[in-house]
Amino acid sequence: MSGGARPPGRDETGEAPPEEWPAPSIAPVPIGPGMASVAPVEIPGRRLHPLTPLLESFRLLIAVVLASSWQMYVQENIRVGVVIAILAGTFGAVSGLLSWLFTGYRVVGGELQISEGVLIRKSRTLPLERLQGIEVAQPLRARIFGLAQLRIEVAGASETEAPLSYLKLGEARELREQLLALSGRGGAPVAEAAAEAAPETAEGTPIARVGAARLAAGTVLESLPPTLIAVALLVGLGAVLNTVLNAYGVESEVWQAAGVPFLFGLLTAALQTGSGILRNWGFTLSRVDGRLRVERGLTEKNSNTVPLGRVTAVSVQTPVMWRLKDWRRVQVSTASIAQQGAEGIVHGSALLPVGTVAEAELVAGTALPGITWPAVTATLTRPPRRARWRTPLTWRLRGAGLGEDVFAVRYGLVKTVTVAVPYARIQQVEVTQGPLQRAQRLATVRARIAGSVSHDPVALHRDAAEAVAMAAELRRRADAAAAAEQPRLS
Amino acid sequence: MSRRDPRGPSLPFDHWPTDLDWQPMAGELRTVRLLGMGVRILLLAVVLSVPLALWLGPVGLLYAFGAAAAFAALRSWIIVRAVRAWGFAEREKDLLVKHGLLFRELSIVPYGRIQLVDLKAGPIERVFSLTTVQIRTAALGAVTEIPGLDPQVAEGLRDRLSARAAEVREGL
Repeated sequence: MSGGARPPGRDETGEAPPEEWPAPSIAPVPIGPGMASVAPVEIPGRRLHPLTPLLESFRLLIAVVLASSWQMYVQENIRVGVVIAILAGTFGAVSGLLSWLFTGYRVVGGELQISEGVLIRKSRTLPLERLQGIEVAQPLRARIFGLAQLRIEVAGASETEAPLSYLKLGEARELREQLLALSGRGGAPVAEAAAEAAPETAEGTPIARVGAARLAAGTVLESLPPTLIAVALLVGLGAVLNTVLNAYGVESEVWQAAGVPFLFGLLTAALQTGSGILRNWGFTLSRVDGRLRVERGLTEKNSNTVPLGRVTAVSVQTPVMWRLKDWRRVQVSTASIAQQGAEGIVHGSALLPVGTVAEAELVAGTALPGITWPAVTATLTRPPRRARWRTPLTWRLRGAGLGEDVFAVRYGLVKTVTVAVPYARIQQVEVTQGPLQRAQRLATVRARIAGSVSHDPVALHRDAAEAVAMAAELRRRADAAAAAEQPRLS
Repeated sequence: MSRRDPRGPSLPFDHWPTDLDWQPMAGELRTVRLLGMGVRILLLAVVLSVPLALWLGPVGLLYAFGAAAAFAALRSWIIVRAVRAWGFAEREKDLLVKHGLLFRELSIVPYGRIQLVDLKAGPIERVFSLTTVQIRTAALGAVTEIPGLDPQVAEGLRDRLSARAAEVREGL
């Protein structure tokens, strides 16, 4: 709770009683960067869309229908089925209605407050100045009714676990714009933001699109090596077992026993590949006044917005099979701990799922304004030759370098990753040295960034003197970059 | 960045580009660590002595406690050196903490990025009037710890850190 002016008539606990909530529709509010600090923009308490309970209990509903019809089919006892359906239906309806009645959100003093819970009241407060990104997601069931979820990412919290669902699509987009404007970031001029009051007219400048053919080819190529390795292992194991058993004169059927998990594994791999293609279908990256917007998805439509100043790291990745085609993926990470994708929690969100080198360089340059990717990769230098035996396969492609504005590190064989972190985003620096490294006069430098651990750039096995010099230089540049930054980000 | 460093530093952290004023831990830290180790090894010796005594008779007791004493001597030597390896240095804009004997580690925490400074002291630490300073930044899972400081030193450090952190807020 920041000490923002509260409108009269609201209780001091910061939690409005539910009966106060069905508020009139939102008044025209001034939107613009910096407005939050001048005159707190407020959105009075509002409820989610009335269809929410139906959609929330969608899976339960289907299960109940299936169970009761199965009951009817097996027992030919219509009465039991009907009773089950009615009981479950009433229970679901009442609990859904209750939870809908007690759930609401509002914006007060630069904070988004979400309150929920019937028996145990819960009120979450998201400080908007720490906003890392907003995603408007439309799962298939919500799309049917023109509804959407709003997933909000805040620094230091995995709040995406409980998204605001469901809102009307228009309302969700409008709220997104308002929250982004309230976060005071993105540098949208006031006039422009006001023009965006009717959203979706603002298309932004498209930066990259991914065609269906390349997406499919890229996704399949990426999932090919693990699948092939798994298949080869299983087949090999089955063959060996079979031979051994046959040698002992046992009529073996291990083949068939191994066949089931084998097929199952193949099926899962295929399904995962398929869902990957569906997820990134029609991928479009565009730049809307200082923010990056990603639109993607065939069944579940997603629209993810990341303010440019929030990018803590950019990584360009090449899964091993993509070398054939010279394709790249570009991911960014922000300070929110985890970002939730359709497949669960992923670290970093893709700005380009598959693209050519030129496209990847363009996207990386957009995500980190002021850098050119080839210049960044040119700064990478290998670890000393005496470290080669420690990572024989990756020594050749490993590298670390101090670019003009970024610290860049390259590593990885199955998936070669080049990660670049702007100096201003480096939180702290560590130098470590194990006993073997000491004998070889090597050391490892690690720059830590806010949020995810997996995107920390780690320069493995550098020369010890170089490592210490590198750490000192990183600290010096981080200070210089942070001092030059206007305005300070929090 | 020369790869051909004829005789590169084997202790890199003592070869920081500029001179550093490394502050040691309080002498009581060694006592606390030694005491904790002694208690643990004594327990181990007791547990070990029961089966040995049953098996070999009184000689078993001798073996068990002999082995424990030898182990304790080795550990003491390591602990004394490990405590000596801890150190922190305050620079103009950041705090350096070094520790580790076998696996050396140097953490550099800029004041502007500090989110939280904790002081804590366990019961044994309190007896010897020691305080641990924990420093957190927004980086996940990176807690920088300075164990075993005199309470006055720890509080002074905490106050200086918080003051500097408020002065130069650098954010995420």
